[in-house]
Amino acid sequence: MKLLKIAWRNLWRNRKRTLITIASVFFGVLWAVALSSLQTGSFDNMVDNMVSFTTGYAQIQNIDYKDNKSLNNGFIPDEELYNFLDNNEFISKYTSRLSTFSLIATGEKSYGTAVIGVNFENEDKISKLSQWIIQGSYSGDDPGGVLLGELLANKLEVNTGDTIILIGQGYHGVQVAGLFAVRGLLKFPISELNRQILYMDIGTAGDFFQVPGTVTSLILMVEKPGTLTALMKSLEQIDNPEFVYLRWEDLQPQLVQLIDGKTSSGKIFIIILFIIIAFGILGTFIMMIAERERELGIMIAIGMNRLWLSLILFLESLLIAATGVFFSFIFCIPLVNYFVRNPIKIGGEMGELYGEMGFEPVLIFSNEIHIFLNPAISIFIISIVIAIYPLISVIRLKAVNALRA
Amino acid sequence: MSIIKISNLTKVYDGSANEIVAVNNLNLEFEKGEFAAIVGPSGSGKTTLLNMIGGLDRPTSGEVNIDGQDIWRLSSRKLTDFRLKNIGFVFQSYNLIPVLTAGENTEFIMQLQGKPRNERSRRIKELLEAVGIADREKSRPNKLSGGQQQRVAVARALASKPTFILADEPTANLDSKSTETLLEIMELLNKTEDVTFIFSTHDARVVKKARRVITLVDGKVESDVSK
Repeated sequence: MKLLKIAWRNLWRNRKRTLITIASVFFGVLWAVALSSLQTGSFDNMVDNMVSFTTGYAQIQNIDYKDNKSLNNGFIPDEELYNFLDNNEFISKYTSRLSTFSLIATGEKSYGTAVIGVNFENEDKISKLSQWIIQGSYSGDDPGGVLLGELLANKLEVNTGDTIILIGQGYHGVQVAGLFAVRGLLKFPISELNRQILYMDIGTAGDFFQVPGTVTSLILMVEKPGTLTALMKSLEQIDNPEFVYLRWEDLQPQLVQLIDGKTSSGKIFIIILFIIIAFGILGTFIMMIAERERELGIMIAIGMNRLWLSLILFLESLLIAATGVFFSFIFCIPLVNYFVRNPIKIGGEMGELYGEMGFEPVLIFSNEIHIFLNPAISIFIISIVIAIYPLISVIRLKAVNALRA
Repeated sequence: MSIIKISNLTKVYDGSANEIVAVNNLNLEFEKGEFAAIVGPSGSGKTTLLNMIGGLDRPTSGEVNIDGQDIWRLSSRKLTDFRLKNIGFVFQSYNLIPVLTAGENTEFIMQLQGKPRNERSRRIKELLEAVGIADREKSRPNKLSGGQQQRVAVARALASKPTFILADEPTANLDSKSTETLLEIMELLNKTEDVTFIFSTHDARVVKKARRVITLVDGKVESDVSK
């Protein structure tokens, strides 16, 4: 059938107008893909960073620790639990942590700090902690040494080899105090972590806080975030009423809120963009139909079914959308892939500002398939919706009136 | 044999105080193979009559029977289908589909009828040769003269092998030579294809060629003369 040929040729009767309409689709899809790619890439990276640095993708905790983060609510994992974790197909890595808060002091200065007891070897596999060492050593000969966030060390005016005092509360409120050598300094891209974090060996921490062998959480990682739900389901097999199994979304509700907020504002922007495109295409169609009223009347007069005529106009709408999307993809797929491989690092004051706000100063893009599919599908839906206008016009068109037009 | 029978046909525009009776209780019959011209002054109802015969403009009252079927009793869809199979149109302003070539314009109506490709190709060649523009098959309407476009319109009208062709002022925009050529072609096709031609016209040359001349005045038949 010639319908497609007629539709395609009709588009080029007014070349300039068609090109402008296609350009609006092109730029609309380009912007939508770029924005979505940047958002998805940044959020995935943010989640990955935050999850690795802090909570992991999932955690096993004592049920009381969830609401009361006290060392009293830790637990001692048994061999059976470790075996289960070792053999779970969804867990790529896991480690244990003992987290609490303490006062850190040196000389006349003292500050509050988060103290995280870790298995340095396992921890490095998850949070790649060693990459942030800027001074000293990550796992030196001194198992009792601690690693400090750079800004915390600066505030305390200590360096590697210096000694700090930890004063805190141990099991059942017992007062604990001890001297620890600073083995290394860490500089994370997120300032908040640099300001208030201290890492020490989990065994040392257990002994110091009088909870030997205790952990406050078991941090579980998955290879692909998509398998997290399957992991959570598998954890139910542990069947221990003392335990609670938490996803990262449960552990970091602020991060979820932040992502939801940013995603919503991005969606609103894209919706506005697509509304503008929709009106652009609709305007083109109103003009096209007005110009061709007589011609449409002729086609009906010579015996063309109105449905086929509507199909021609629908194809025109679809072809404009498809051409715009096609050229947009030709341009933006290589572009996005380039930026996926070469993230944009933000330097200078802007980079520092990102760090201050708790974000890694880098613009990371994503090339997940939905980033390309969503704008394309949206544009096609728009073109289908817009095709309602010519459909109604053709149904209402009176051939005899159109012939007089 | 009568192929078109018009009974008590009336068309009134605008039912208010300013109503215009374009066609007034008209009765006519057309036989197969006729070459008839409907003449009359502007506003006499020629085009309105053709539009009602062609199933384009619904009459206020009366019947248009074609092969025994009152076309205005058909549903909109069936009427469109009826036009496709039975009626060919030639308009004053040619009205070809501008994005299709001469050949494609001729072929289009056969595609709508679902005719096979080889039959279409044969018919295109046959018709374009008959109207004398076989060499312009690949040309789009904007590359053809007015006379050539109207000849393509005639080929298109004949492509569906209609029972009759309605031509509304087909020579109005043509020069003398083109008019002469077109009339000769239509007269020849009227004989070779045995298809009925009904024209509305002001053109004396068309009237001269017509074998039947119907004169309308104020929507009524003033005279109906067969030569």
